[in-house]
Amino acid sequence: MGPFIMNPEGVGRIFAPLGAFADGPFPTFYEPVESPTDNLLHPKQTHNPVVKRYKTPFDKYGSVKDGFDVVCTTYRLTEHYHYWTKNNPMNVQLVPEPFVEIPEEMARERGIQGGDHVRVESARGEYTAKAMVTKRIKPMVINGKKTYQIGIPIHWGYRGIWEDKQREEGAHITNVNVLSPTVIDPNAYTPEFKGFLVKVTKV
Amino acid sequence: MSQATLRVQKISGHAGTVPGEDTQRQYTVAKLVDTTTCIGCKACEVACVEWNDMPFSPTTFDNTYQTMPETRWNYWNLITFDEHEKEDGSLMWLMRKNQCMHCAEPGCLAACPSDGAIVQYTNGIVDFQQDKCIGCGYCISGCPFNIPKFNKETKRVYKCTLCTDRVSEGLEPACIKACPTGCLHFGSKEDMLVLANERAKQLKDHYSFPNAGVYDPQGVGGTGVIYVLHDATQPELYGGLPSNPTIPLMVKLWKGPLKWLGNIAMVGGILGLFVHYLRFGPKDRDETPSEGARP
Repeated sequence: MGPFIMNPEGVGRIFAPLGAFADGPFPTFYEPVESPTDNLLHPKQTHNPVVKRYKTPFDKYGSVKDGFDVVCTTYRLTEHYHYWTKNNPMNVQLVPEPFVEIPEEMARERGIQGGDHVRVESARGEYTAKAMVTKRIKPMVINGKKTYQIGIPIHWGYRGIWEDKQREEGAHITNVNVLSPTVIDPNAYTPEFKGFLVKVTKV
Repeated sequence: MSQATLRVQKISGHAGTVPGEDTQRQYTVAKLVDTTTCIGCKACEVACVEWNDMPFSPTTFDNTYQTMPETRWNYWNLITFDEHEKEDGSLMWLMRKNQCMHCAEPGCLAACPSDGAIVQYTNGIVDFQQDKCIGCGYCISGCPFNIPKFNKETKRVYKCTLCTDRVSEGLEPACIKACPTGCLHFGSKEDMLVLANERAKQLKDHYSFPNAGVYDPQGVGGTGVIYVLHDATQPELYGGLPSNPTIPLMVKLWKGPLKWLGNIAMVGGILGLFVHYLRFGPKDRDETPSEGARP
């Protein structure tokens, strides 16, 4: 006997009124809008056809063909809270400045060493920070192709202890969110900041 | 940071017995750091700096999540971050809260020549008394864990106090209170060892850590900070934690046999002088003037 003993038909039901979901009601797999590969499950439609997008001149998308060959993800650190704590000396003491985490193998291939400045470019903007070479991000093999991934913590940009000092020295500060695409999940409105394509060059 | 409710059991550079020694028994306290559940959030670092009211010191990017390469005179608690690749290719990100280990037989206390600058309380806490510190830095060479740090401005040495001010009031240290994952525990050494061994057994039996174990090095008589490690056979992986820490040989020699040799030589010298006087009497001045010495 199944668990649905209260239903006369003895199986589960799903209640999904028309209009409650922009897509679905059953989940499926789509690649991000900027993806290094094709979708094996849906070869004709690699990403979600009903994603919401901003339609401004800044909202451009890159592909591996255009040279955007590295997968980038953005995240937060335990030591900082969004964009507030970069003004607090205590948190700045723990993590003093922005960085880009780069897999060891990729760094070796491109001659990047820990502490070198790297420029990360997407179709939408660019971001420069020091490289943190790490073993924690491993190269991936996607559809038989070796693909690198980098990671950038989001906590810097605008004004802060480090930013103000850099500006005095004439540096151009950008926020990492200029890299990520404004592609939004049609139901939950979650932006697609965890997977997009970039170019990485040593400055 | 002398505390009235804490009794002293060992005093540095002190001749004779310790006043009030053994008049009172206390539980030996210990911190338990379970490195397997540490997430490296550094809350304990912040709690330490804030509770002890220490000034901020600037740091620089160093290709790691670790706040600074080693502890400073005003930064007593530092999580070390190490990326370790196992033989099977899997990766472990090892985080260890590094601070004063509060050894049962402290090398710093043995090396210190200043009377009362370093004390050990009956509950096991090793504490520096900066008002009696002479700034010689011998404690730095006596410590097998590289913990005491010299402040060039005040010419004093500082380190973790195990929050004596909090512990003497029945509170846990600030770092323990701040830990969000429960990887830090505080209590009697006995209880902490039971807890640590239980956790190590759990790691061995239910997780794939056959070498899991407890770090409580006997080379320094056991420590007031004990670790549960994924791999207790290789403590060096955790930010260079020594596998068998001991008090440096020079400090041991200097404070043991050499000290007595020196004392014997000094007392012998004075005794010899005295015997010489008795045997030969005072030295006579040669009264005959030398030729041509005076016009």
